[in-house]
Amino acid sequence: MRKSNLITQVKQADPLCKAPLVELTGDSRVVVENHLGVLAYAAEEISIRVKYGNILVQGDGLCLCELSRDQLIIIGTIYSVQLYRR
Amino acid sequence: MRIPFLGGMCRLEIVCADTVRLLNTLTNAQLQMKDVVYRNDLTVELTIPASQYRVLKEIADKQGANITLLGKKGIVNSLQTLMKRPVLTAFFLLLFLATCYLPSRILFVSVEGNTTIPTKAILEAVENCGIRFGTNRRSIRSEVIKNTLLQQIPQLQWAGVNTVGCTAIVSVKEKTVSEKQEDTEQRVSSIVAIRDGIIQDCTVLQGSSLCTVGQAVKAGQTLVSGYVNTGLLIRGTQADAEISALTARDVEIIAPKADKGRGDITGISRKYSVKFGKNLINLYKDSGNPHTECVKIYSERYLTLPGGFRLPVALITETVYYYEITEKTAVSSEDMQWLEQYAEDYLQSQMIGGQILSRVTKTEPIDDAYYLYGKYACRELIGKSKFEDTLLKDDRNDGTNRKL
Repeated sequence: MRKSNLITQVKQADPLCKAPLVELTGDSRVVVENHLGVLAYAAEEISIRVKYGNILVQGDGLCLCELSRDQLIIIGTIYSVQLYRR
Repeated sequence: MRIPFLGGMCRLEIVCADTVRLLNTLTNAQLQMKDVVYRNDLTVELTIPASQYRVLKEIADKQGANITLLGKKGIVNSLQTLMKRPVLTAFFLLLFLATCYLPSRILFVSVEGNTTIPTKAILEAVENCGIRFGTNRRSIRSEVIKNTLLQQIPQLQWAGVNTVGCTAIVSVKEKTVSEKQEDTEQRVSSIVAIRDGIIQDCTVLQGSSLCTVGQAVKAGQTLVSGYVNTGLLIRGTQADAEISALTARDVEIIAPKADKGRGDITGISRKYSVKFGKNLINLYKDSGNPHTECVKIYSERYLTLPGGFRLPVALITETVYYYEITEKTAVSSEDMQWLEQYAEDYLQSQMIGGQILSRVTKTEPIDDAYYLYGKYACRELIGKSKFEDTLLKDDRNDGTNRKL
């Protein structure tokens, strides 16, 4: 078996695969991995679509520091991070 | 492997009816966005790699969004911006080259350890060895320079060169003069004749007389020996005597009839040059000077850093003073005795001691000068001390003292 195929199989077996991962650092930085896009974007509120629903980040002076297919980084003054299940 | 950010980054302002939808589309298109700032419901600012600008523009055009390029960042863009300013680019390039070049070069040379030999002489010798402003540090061979320095300056006992930063430190050690040579009182000396003559008087105070009154002697002949034979042994002393002799001297004098002298200053001009090491850069056009009636004063001002380091850069000033020429009569034809008096004074100054007994002079004018030829018979002291190199004073030849 080739090495690349083995790695692919291991990834598929990962139980957290495609599951959203939210990491809050202090009150100024939120990292969201495995997101499905931005639903709403404003300086006070950013809503992100994930597998189980939406993640709502509320705060002041929020800014998308980095936005890519894999992860999303929000900086600003974070007041709350909430998950709304579908 | 492609490095996405090497090509630089673009800062964009996007005006769109649905900014969130556009951002999601861009995300799905694998674009990497940074610093996405929400301005209002219709406007958003973001930064993307310059290589992804074309993809973003295609997507934005499809969604009817307006894109405004706010700025560019990155190495390539910085270089392109810098190339638009050639003077600044040349300065940075020069700075870079100087940073690479100067640490490997010798900028200063200092000398330590010398007491009697002038520093300037050592520096000149070192410069002849190849150590000068701008010399590569790696090309300095201390052994070669040591041998060359010892050959050029015989007073040196040892020499070495070390480099500290951009400074070459020349360490020298001078030879110590032996006490045997310094202490002349311990050496045997004789009296020798300095001129040809006939001995008229000979008074020997110490030593063995080798001449008699009426004897003709030649220059260099020993008149009184410093070695005294006491019968049992030969003793070395310092000969002391007063010996006068009849001598003959010839004198020729040529004096100009008129003398040119400087009058009032008619003008002053200054010329400036800059000296880098041995290279001279003139800051004026014409180097010739059509006027011969002038005095030139040359001055060098070296740039010196705080701490005493003298840079090899000097400002050279040449000040030329122009003046009038005035002629005055130096010797008049009626006053020819002045020449004879001058000749006698000159003769007296050339003697150790003595007097002129008789003279035969001949004076005649030639072209623009007066010519005097004279033969003088003198009575003068002709003895002069000469140190012997063989024995020391009070040495004996009986085998008890073998200091040779």
